[in-house]
Amino acid sequence: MTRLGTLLRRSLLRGAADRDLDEEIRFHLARETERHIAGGLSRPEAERAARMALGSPALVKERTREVWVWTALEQLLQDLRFGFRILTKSPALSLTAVALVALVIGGNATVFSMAHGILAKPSPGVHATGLMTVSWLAEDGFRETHNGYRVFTHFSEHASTFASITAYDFRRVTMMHENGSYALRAGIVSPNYFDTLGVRIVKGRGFGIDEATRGTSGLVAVVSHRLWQTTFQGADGILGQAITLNGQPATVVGVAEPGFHGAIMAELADLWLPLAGEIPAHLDQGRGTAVAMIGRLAAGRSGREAQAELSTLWSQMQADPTVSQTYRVLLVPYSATAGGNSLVSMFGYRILAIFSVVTLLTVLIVCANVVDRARRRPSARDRPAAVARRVTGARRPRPDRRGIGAFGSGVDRRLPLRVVGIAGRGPVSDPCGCARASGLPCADTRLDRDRLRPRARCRLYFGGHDRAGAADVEPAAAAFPESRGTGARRFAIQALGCAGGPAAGVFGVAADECGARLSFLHGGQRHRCRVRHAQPPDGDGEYVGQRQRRGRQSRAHRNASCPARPHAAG
Amino acid sequence: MPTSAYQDSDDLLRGTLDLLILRTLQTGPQHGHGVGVAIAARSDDVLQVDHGSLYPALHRLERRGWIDAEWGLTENKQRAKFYRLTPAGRRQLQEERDRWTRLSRAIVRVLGQ
Repeated sequence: MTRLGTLLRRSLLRGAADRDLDEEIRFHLARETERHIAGGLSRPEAERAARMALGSPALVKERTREVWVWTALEQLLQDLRFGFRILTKSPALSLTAVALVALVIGGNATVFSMAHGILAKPSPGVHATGLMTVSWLAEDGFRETHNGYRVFTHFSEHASTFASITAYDFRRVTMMHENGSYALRAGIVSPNYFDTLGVRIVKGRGFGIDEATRGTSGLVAVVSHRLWQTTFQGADGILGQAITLNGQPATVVGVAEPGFHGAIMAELADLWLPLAGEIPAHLDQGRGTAVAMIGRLAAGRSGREAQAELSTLWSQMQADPTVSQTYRVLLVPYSATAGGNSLVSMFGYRILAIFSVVTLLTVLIVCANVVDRARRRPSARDRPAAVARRVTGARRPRPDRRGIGAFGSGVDRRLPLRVVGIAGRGPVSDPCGCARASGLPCADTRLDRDRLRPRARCRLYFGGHDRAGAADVEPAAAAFPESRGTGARRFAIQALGCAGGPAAGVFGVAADECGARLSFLHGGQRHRCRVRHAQPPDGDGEYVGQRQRRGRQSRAHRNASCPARPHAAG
Repeated sequence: MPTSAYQDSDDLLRGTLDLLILRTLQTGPQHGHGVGVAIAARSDDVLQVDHGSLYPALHRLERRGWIDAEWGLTENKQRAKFYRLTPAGRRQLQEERDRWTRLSRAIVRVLGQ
């Protein structure tokens, strides 16, 4: 616990840990100095020797800090901070991106929920664990749900891999009772139907084995909860209620649990009748006796074992002329749409796979659009670097975590790194950078590249929001904005000092706010100009010019825009 | 020559600094500077610990739970951070010592051939 506490303290209270380390190192230097003084050195020599032995205190602290925290966690926090900063820097873009991603995620979640509900969910009230649907697969791939009643009896009598197998079919019936006559969809089910599916009977009971063999005498029925609540108005005396089904008297003996309307989605029954043997004549409707089957696996038995057993049992029925041998038995995990030849049953999972691919593509497209939009709109931090690359022809620097992490803590800390990484590298691909600085070759706002030395090298001096000015500019020059409106806060100045090229000894300025006015000193003269193109279409640079040109300009012309002709000012 | 001795010991100390620190703290709590001085003294100034490596090593051992740290006062009433060996550190020291003994014996055998 002590160790964990130390780790947490150092991770969460980093400031205090830093101060402790500072004090520890100060103590070390003091003791080492004392030791050297005792050895005969003067104090300055002793202090120097102590510092030499320790090395750079900053480096020692940095190496020690690396021990404190989980580096990955620190980097994660760093990335989160950077991400948050990016989000807050461009709220409109961020909100758009978030809204788009939320829409895509929401839409896809809805589609997936629907697909999952259709493909994989059981019917309400059914306990699907261990349930398998018996399906019949023809040679041409066609699937059938029903087969002869004799197949059901053969399977249920001999299959040891199932705890129970239930058979069902459904018919339309006309129910009459004292309140009127109703057309209903009825399930004709084996007596173990409710038990096999795990459906509760909330009132009364299910079917007994003997009740299925009574035929038309003593016919019993279980009704749905909805039928009880609507047609029978929730009457307490529902049990024992006399009804007539297709003209045959019957008695209600139970009410199924709320929501249950059959094992499969297409059934939607409101009433169930027991079935044992052939479909009774009063329910036959000329369709013969064919039933669908659902089985619950016995404990410890797998679907593969059950499949093998049913295949064997099915092959044993080869000699029976009443069953169709053109099909082979196929077990599939139970769902409300499993088995059969419906579009959902046969192609549902393929449709789901297509949905998955479409979803993935949609997310990728949205992400690509967001990234592309973000890249087209460089942040204020990137603009100076973008200008510098444009002027010097330098390549885009590799991402630097520490540079990113340092951003926000002030310009001072990262500025030297940035300058070293970008400035003065390679030939000048845009010599107008220097030409612009001189103000002379491009005074007519046209770029004449042939008159410029393409190998001229530029040294760049960056001024951040709070550092633009003479301190960073060589040769001596001052650049500062005369802001208008809200420009002051967003204003960024880069002072370009050129050396070694044709424009040696002069400088130029660039700004990132359209319409802003610049005023700067050079050679004892005050120069004024106005930013004409604050953000070019490619978002990668800023230009300074005085005169507004009418009509559309080519990019070369925009690049050729140069500082105004100098004029004396007070 | 101190310089060559330092360079030799620098290589030697790679991987053994933890062992030396644990062994030094076995005699009692000590601050970082005292640990470095003690190692140099016990080795007759042959082993000069790089002070820049000392503090990362101490903090690493503390993170592993082999040593514990507490602020206290020196004999000159200066505030200093004292490190002391934990029970886990004593077990680690024994393991490290056994391993070093095996290694050094093996090297001696090789050199003696």
